Amino acid sequence: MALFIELLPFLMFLAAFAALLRGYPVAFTLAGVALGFALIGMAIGEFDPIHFRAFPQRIYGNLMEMDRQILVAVPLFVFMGVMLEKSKIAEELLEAMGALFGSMRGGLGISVVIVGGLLAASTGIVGATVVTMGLMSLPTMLKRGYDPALATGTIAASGTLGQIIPPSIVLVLLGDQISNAYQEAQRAQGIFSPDIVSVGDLFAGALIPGILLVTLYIGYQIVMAIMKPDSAPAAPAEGKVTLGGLLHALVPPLALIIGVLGSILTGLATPTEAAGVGAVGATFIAGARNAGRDSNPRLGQLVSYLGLAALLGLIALVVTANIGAERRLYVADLGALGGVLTGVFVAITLLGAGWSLIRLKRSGVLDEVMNSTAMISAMVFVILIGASLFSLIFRELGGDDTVAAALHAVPGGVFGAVAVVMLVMFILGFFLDFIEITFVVVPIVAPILLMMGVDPVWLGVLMAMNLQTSFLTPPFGFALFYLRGVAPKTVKTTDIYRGAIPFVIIQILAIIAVATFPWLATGLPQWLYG
Amino acid sequence: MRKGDGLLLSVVLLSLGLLIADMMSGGGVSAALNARLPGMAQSAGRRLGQLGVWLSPFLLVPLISGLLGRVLDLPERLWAAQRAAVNRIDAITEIIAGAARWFALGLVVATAIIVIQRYVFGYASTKLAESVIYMHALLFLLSSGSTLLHGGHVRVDVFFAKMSPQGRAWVDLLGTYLALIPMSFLILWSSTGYLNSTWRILESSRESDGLAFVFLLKTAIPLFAILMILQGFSMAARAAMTLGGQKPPALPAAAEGEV
Repeated sequence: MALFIELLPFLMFLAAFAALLRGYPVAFTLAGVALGFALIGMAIGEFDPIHFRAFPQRIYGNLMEMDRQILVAVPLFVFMGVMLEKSKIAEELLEAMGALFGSMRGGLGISVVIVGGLLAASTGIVGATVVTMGLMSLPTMLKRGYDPALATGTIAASGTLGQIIPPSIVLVLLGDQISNAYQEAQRAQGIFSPDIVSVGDLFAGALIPGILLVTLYIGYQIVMAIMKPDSAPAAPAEGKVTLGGLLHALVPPLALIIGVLGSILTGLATPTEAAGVGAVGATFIAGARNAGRDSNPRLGQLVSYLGLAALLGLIALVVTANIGAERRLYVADLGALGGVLTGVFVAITLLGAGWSLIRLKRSGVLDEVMNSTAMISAMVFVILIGASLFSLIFRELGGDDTVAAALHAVPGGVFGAVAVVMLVMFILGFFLDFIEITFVVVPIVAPILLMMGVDPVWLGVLMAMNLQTSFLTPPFGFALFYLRGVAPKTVKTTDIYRGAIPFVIIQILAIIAVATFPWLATGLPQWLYG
Repeated sequence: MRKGDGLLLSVVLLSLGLLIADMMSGGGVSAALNARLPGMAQSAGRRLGQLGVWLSPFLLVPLISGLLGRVLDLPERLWAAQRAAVNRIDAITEIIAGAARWFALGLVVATAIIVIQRYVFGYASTKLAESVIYMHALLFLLSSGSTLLHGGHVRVDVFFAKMSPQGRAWVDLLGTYLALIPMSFLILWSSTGYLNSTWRILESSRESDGLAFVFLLKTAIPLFAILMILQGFSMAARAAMTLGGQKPPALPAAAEGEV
């Protein structure tokens, strides 16, 4: 009996895993398994049903209270990403980059990686990126004689960059979990003025590893082009790219990346605020292009662009007012000219935003964006509800102590414990989605690891890279799955799996690099925030 | 315009009407509400609870017809009743989600206004900041049912994708009764005490200049549970029809959104 009680949390984990594989929606399955084990716990006197009383408060406190504002960044980033996707910047970028690099050997692959990186830093939605590149670039690459495995692997891997390059939803959710765990760990150690680790820290920490991955992917393209020229042939130039076309494709995403990421990394705005401004910026871009319609009347285009320009003007005003200022300055400090300028900018921004929204509502794009945002938001946060019941009961059954004892027993001290956790997450990633792993595994293991003295940013970045890899691991990686859906029938599923393997190896190498040289992750946040 | 738009519009108009009436009567409306609402809510809550107890046995109908439908020929009226219930529930879900989707836009607009206020004018409104959280919570709580209807809640589809329609119907039927409905009942059951206390004082924000509707926000949690029970019934009834050799009603086509 004592052994059974000892093993109960472990059994709970196994049962959850087995139940999830049946395929019922994850959010409710987690809650169902938790309830089942709560009943077992009650039967053997290990669980007091009084703890159920905490459940609604937990939902409220975890998801709906004022200090949970960071979670609002998730729907805002989704809104921004879906809006950008509808404004067809991915298509334009692929055409422009293809024309720029296509005539080089391996150039098409390189352009896919670059576009993947740019989209990752702006939209960050893996599914949409993989589908778009699978529909646009894959046929071209195959027609030019690319090795199907190399082509599909490159597309799938570049699509997953959205998970690691900030701003990304994984980093928001993971950063939130790590931040809670860090506070908990410090409280448990009796530190009452705890250090805080924020989502912004994790964004800064993930930037260099993300760029490292892009570099490695490009390096792989070059190596393949040299070692196996047949697998990555040059494409005869297909239409010249004009400077105007290139700018039209490049400026919107770059402006958003600089605006959103820049304001978060410099600490000017919180991730939620930056996401809100990014969503408005994306609305302007989609409105100016009259997304969803074939025609694009001049007047509406002009008003949307003017609105965008006025928004940028406002940002410029705020930034110039505050460069080198001792304290934060506002319009009131700018004098009469500044006041008038601000008023005009605000008015034009509002006008442009209104006009863009009306255009998007007419073409139906706004409805699609709102629906997608609502669905993804419900999907993510209802899993958080189910997972919070799961971890509530897991803890009451003594799961924390079991896991802590197990992690302390791992040889190799802290490094060994982290390695084991990473390995478990990697294996779970073959079957489960990043959201389940983030909400179930991280709250259990992160406080224990952090109490052992692990750096929170380093841990978060390693976990994020690990979760990103799970999108690529055959046979159930999401990116592969999306790509299979849009790839032509001539591409065999085994080709896609074969193509993913080198990129999984690159991922593992990058994870090992960050594990060995923690400053890759911790250097930038330390330099930025001291 | 969709039906949900009308719902949202009427809620907004109703609140505006109350606000204006309150201003005209010099706070009379809010004083009256403050005095009466807790008592009214308590008796309404009790009645709702009784109604729920009376109705909950009907939740088992899809389970029973799914289990028996494979071996027996069930009366056509049983299926017709379930079909009608499914259509009704799906319509309600779609109306609520149709209203809730606007919160997605509301979040963006409110956040943008907050940013402009804060960085340009150096001014912060607690009410507006809290309204963002309200919209965020209502967005996912109220659109969860529609997400379930359209298959937007993530499944681990390693095996599910390869199952036959019957196999999937089994997963949906049993999962609903073993996981979805128990979880929702747990939320309902465990909410009673805390709903009581929040309505008794008509709980408002902890900030003095915040929104005064925390009790409504907290009520959204049991409301979510009720919506999920209804949508779970719909899902289970569809699964039962598949198992019983009946053709389940088609999904409402309205929402086009990809995940």
